[in-house]
Amino acid sequence: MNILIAEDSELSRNVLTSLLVKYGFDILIACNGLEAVEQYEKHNPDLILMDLMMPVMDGYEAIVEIKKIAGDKFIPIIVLTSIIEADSLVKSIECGADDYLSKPYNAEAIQAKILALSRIKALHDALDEKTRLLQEHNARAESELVLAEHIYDGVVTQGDITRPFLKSYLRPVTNFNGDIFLVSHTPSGGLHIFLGDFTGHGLSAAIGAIPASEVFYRMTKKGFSIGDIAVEMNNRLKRLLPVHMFCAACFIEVDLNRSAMHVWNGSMPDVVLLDGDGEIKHVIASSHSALGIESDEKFDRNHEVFSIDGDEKLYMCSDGLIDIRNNEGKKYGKDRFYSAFKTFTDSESRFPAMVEDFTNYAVDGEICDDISLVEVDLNRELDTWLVDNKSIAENKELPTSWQVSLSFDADTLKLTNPVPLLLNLVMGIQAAEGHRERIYTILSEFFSNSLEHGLLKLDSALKKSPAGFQEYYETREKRLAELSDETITMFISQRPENKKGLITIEVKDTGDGFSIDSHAAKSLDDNIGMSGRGIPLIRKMCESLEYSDKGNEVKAVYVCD
Amino acid sequence: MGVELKSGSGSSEAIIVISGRFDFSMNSDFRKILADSAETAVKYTIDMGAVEDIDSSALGMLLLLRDKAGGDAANIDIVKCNPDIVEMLRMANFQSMFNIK
Repeated sequence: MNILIAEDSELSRNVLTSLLVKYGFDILIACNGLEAVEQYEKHNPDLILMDLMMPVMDGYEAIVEIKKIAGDKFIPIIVLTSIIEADSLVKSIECGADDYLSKPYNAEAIQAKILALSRIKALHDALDEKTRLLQEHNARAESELVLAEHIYDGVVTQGDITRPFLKSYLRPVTNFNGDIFLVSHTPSGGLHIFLGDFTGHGLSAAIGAIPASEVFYRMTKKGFSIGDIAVEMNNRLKRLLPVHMFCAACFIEVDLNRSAMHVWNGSMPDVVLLDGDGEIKHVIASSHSALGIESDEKFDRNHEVFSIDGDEKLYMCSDGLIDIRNNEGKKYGKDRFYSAFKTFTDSESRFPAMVEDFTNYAVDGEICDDISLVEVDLNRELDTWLVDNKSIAENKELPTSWQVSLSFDADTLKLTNPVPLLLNLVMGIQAAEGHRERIYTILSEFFSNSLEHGLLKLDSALKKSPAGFQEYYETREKRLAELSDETITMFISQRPENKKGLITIEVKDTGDGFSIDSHAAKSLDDNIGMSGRGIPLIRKMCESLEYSDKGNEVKAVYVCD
Repeated sequence: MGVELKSGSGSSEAIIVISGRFDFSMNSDFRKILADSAETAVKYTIDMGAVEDIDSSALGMLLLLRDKAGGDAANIDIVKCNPDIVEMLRMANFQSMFNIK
């Protein structure tokens, strides 16, 4: 330990020096205040003993100067006084001195004071070091946060969320939003919408948002369907996220003509579709696990299809909205969310009114999760994407010509459902990506009609009641087991026309035929629900759809645009 | 308020009793209980009778438990949930992974 002695009397200096050397300290010498300041700057001693009355610069001035140079660093200074003079003592402490010693010197007193002050200095230094480290960490964290925000914004917000048919409110609890809202157009001008909610909030929640949105934008651009994207995103997140983290998600796909809407809801709150009059037309509840939980084999990509007229509005939210608490700790709740659709009847001001309602509710209350609310106006006129992006739409790979036909006999029909196989075959040859779900819908509807009505002669009226539903499937199983000498033939071909692929799907069975009118529901909404997708929906999706007179042959032309 | 392991140590059935708000604040206690019971337990029962509310990190903890208890082979009952909690578990499709009673 280095001690600086600033003392003009040679005698005093020598007495102190010999004393301190004996205790094992290293000594520096200054003969006046100015020398003391110089020695301090040069050698940075651990402690200073300072006489007050010195030539050139006195002790008071030297103390002020040294303390100024030291800044936040602690340099203990003990003043040396010949007699206890109250005035000079107070003055020196005011100048910044930390303690005093009076002459004549007492060896034990000097040692004790030096030890006490050096202990304080050690504490002070340790605290300084911790503060410095903390500041360094804060600065690093701050710059990493800025970098992360930059990357996050670059990846997550590259889509179309500023389009005029969208209204969105996203409010993160911290810098980073664990909720993500992504919108992008498919190459054929359809629309993909994604609202996701990662476990928790803040940076740890947002970390999964980067790969998820990257998958969404990349695959949408390439023309994959929401089912394909859901599968890929689930895989990616399953691999990436720890077991306890996942992403509740809702995918919506709407075609260019706004005629059908596909919805995959995995653990998000109900999606609400209002018709043109503002009445609730559909409520689509979650029917899947969140993304990042199920293995690839168990993941369920199936989604629901709804016929739309193009005058609807769609509402999606994250559970952060439902879970807002007011000052009494009561939740905003699902009921209040639904009642907003009755209360705010004006279509234009509904969204801001809903936002105002829950933000008012949250005043003085507690928001513990990220909040999102999204409104999508399905009016096609509001979506100018196709006009803006004509060149992109025209720059696709051109469709080719091909045809396949497959026959299935009764024994094969008992063993397997050929539709998924057929679908993979068709997609593998060359059919436009992004049409997978639609082609599947057509194939499976035709196939099950041929099998169930054509060959097994089941009456779909049965399916109108839950009990009948059960009976329907029991009879189906029984008759299928007894089936023999019957065949279903499927013929699929594609030919290009005006750069579009025209896919013809024909299904023929060896049964007596059936009247499609007696089996098809009268309206679309009748049919969706108990018996799934129906012929009216297919008719809407296709360019043409014809049953032969007898009813055992159906032919549809579907355009991949 | 909290999370408690009710079965004796070395028991093959672990009963975990949770009360209050089941959220991130219980994370470290919950993980400790998982570590304590993981060696011997083959069946888990989560008693949610005194839980007022759950959030997504609670769902995450349940998934972690399921993973530690053997994933698809796990045998986990979640009992005494109030209707709101049942709805939340159902929304997350947890009925396909847990026995919700």
